[in-house]
Amino acid sequence: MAFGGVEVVKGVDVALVPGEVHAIVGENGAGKSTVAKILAGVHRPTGGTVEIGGHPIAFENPRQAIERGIALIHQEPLTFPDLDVAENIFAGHPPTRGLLKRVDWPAMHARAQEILDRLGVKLSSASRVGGLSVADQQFVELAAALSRDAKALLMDETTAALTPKEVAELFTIVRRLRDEGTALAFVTHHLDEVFEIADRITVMRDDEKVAELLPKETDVREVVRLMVGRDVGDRSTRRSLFFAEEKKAALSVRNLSKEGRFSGVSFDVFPGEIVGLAGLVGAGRTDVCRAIFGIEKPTSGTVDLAGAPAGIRNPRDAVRQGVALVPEDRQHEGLLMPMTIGENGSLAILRRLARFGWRSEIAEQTAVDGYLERLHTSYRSSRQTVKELSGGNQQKVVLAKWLMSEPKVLILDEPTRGVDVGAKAEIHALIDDLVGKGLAILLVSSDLPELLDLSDRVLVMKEGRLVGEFGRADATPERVMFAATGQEAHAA
Amino acid sequence: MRPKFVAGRELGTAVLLVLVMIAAGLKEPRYLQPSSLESILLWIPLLLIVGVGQMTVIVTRGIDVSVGSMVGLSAMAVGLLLRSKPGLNLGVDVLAGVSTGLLFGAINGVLVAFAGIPPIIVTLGTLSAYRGLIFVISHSEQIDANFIPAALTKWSSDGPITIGGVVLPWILVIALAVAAGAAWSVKFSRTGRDIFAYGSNPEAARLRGIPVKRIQFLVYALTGALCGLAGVLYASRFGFVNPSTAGQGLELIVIAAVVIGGTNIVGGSGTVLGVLLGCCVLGAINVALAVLGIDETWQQLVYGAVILTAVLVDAVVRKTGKGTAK
Amino acid sequence: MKKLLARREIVPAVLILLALLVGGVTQGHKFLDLHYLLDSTSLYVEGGLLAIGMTLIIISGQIDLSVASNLALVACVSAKLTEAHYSPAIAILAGLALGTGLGWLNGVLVARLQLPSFMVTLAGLAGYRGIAQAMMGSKSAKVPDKLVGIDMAYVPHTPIPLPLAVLIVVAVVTGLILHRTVAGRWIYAVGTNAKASLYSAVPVARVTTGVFIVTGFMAGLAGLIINSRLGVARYDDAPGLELDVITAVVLGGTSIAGGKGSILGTMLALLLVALIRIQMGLANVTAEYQLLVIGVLLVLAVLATNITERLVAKRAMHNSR
Repeated sequence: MAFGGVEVVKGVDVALVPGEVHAIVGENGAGKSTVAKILAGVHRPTGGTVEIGGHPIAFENPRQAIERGIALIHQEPLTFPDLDVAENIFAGHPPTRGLLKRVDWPAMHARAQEILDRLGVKLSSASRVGGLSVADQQFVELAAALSRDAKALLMDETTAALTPKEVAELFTIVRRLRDEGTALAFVTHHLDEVFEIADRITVMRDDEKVAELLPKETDVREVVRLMVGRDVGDRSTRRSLFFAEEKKAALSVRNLSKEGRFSGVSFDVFPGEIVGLAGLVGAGRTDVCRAIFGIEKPTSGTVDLAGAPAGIRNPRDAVRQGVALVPEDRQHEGLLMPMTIGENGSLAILRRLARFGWRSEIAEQTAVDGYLERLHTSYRSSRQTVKELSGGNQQKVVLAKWLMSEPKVLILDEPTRGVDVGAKAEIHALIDDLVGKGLAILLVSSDLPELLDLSDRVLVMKEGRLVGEFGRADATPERVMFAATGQEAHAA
Repeated sequence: MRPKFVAGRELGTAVLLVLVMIAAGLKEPRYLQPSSLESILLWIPLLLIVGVGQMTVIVTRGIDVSVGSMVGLSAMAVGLLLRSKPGLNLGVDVLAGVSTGLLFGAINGVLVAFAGIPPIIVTLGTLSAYRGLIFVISHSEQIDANFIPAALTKWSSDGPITIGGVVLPWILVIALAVAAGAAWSVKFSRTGRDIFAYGSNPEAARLRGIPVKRIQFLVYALTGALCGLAGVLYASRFGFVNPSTAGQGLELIVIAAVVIGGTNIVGGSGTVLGVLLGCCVLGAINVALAVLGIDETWQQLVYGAVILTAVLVDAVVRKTGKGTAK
Repeated sequence: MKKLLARREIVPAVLILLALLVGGVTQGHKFLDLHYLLDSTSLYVEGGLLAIGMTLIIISGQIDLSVASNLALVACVSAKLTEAHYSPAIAILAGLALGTGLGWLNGVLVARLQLPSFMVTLAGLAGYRGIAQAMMGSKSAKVPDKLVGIDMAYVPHTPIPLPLAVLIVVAVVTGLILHRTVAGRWIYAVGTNAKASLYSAVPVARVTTGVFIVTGFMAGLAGLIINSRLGVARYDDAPGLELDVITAVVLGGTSIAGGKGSILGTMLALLLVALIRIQMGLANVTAEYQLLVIGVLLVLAVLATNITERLVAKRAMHNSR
């Protein structure tokens, strides 16, 4: 199926069998979440069929899927924080009694407790869900799915926010459900978990299914190889030296921590170098970027720019000191969709383009057009709204906006997500060009080939900590993936 | 069934009530006399009935500032009916009042739920439109006391029991009955639970198959109907209906009562008991101001301060993550 | 031409022509008398000033229900100061400072404490007028003769009343700020998407506080003008004016959701509301009927904007297919 012109998933065959745990693995953005969402009725496929028990079915919305026994457990639990556990489980279909069809609380609590016991979850049906941990909330969501007699459970990156202990608890439940005959699908990229729990593995890469394997017939290395593929680009054409006349780091992060998200992160980025930040979703990479840029305050740690403390309290401070961030969510963070190309492009440095606060349309337009042209952007006029542009061109507008601020440190968070192949190549060329001019670049990307191709050094984050660093020569996809999934940690 | 207990928030409101009464009583002993206590008891019914509706609206993350106008409109409709057809059974008049409120509440509901207009804007508009309508249907004339039958005003002056010289008026009994019914619905009816689920997480509610648009419509229509009933009680309590004063400013007091009673302004939680206590507090404050000789003119200020304080307190409490399941 | 029709301000502009037509036909030369119309506008200057501030607020995604109460409080305080024999200059400065200060208070509560603006300003609506009520009771405070009668004054050699001139100047200045300065662009950005604006280094909190401060100042100014017009100050000055103001802003094409709107649109809508009210006045329609009409007008205005926005969005989707 396609999202706004970019095909997201192509020709995938997946079968969920009762009594089997089927893991769907792939890198970030490989399309595995989308497959799960199609199965659960969240998205409608543009091609192909979904069948239950051999009968084709088309869901208009998730509610219909739930009624047919297919439930999706989200990464961020969709619960009712003000209600108790029992009611969360039975929201929308509480047990009733009597002529007035009054809600039967004792029965609800009893049945809720039954389900919880069946799952082996130690929760009281009377606890307020808002105060529960994320893991417990996910158990509640599981219980809710079971209360609807779910025959197929799809778990989308459910373990992302869980501690190892909680993951173990979850797996006990999963095994129990499997033995009872439920069909389970597990979308993840935590390979150690896959081999622990799955009966079957489907590997996706670049929106396609590349393999279906049985765990006992394969191993982690092979799965990683399939996930990552061989085409990591022609690395030899990249410059192998970086321009490092400056011995002072452009960006120095020391012991940066934010409670619950990441801790003790320290690294340097020198002018003329690209440092890649690898890791799984939820590892904390974007959080680190946000902390550096001043969107969120870190709980402790320091950020220095060119040797001196930066004192960044908000993005304005950051921009003033020459730091720029291209955020990962283009639609909600990178651009103001209803506004024009010109308005978006000039937004970050309006003051600089104006005189005493008085804006000059000409100055803004010239600046924006100038940068957009250098980026080979195709658009009719800067009065067009950005909504009308393709993903690649939209991203160029974001880049233009930040390049205009003449940053010394550029943080790129998923710069080519949702961007077509041509624009992607152009953006890569731009990044090379920028770094050649002495910019210090921090690159976050879930596209491993891209990350490895561009980076001079690769740092790996896992569960909020920096667990590995690789020089360009040593950074292979396997090594990076291993570090990110917790297999081995290498020092460069 | 787990034993019921008064959760922290309601306890706080109850304590506040006691404090207000003690403070006022100390300053002016007349406060604790039957006549002023009766004044408080007469205040509560209108606030409570409308407050219950307002609570459900706020729980669904909305607001209804047109309640004052709806009460006035219903009171006027009833008054006109009483004047033009005095021989009718009182029950018909009550029905007329409730229906009037229901109609106009439903209009609010349609605009919010189906036209997708923010509730503050809709009800701000209808606040004026309905007030204007009161004048239109009454030709700007007051319904005088002689047209309000004694049978109706007796509801406010008489009551089933008298405690220590204080009469518990019938309108209070009616209001408490409505509140009891509401409390039951909130706890035991599917719709009631759906309302709270929706307020707690609208997106999750939609995915669980809760008819969200219908729920949104319902709370405004229901509030209208309750305002209709309150309009009847208004006529009973005051004995006349004046187009410019009937229900004027009621919305502010009601919102203050609901908010003080612990209903969360961002939605998702609230209790009928809390609303009741909030009404008591506001009734107590009102009468206290009168008895203490403080000008009625302080009222607006007090309501404003009350709303702001309650909102701030709730914001702080939310930040520190306390609360109980409702 | 197509572009002209697509502008949001076309709706009130057309309605104005319609209103003029209807007025001219039903009331004849009395209505279409320029001098009469100009003199009548004096009544709407306070609303106009408030509407200008309100436009900024709504564009930035907020709402301010306390503007009329702010006005009333400023009027009362200012009059009381002169009654206490302070000089008129002090009374005027104090009034402006108070209005601005109350606006700042609103702004801080919304921007720094992240409280919803409709709740905060609802409290302000009651609170500010309540303080005025407490101060004045049902009495009125007299405004010194020196300061009375601004509505009788005209711009030299023209039939334009002074208050109207003030309004026009304020409108033009604010319009310039909104459309031609950095701050103005920031206001639109914050109203369109506060998060993305923050990410783009826009000082969101400062912008939000700022629009409330400006509105507060407008309320202060309006409070002084109403004193000059009425000669007395009462706690219930300008009752319910916030409704007219919000109606005018929405009618003028400003979207309730934020991010869209213009001073021109608001001014046109104000003119329209003024014309409608004048007409109703000439036709001896009572104040209460007028209330009904204005209330209905607000709801219709929002509905109409809502519907047109959806139609435009649908057409855009079709075009991109």
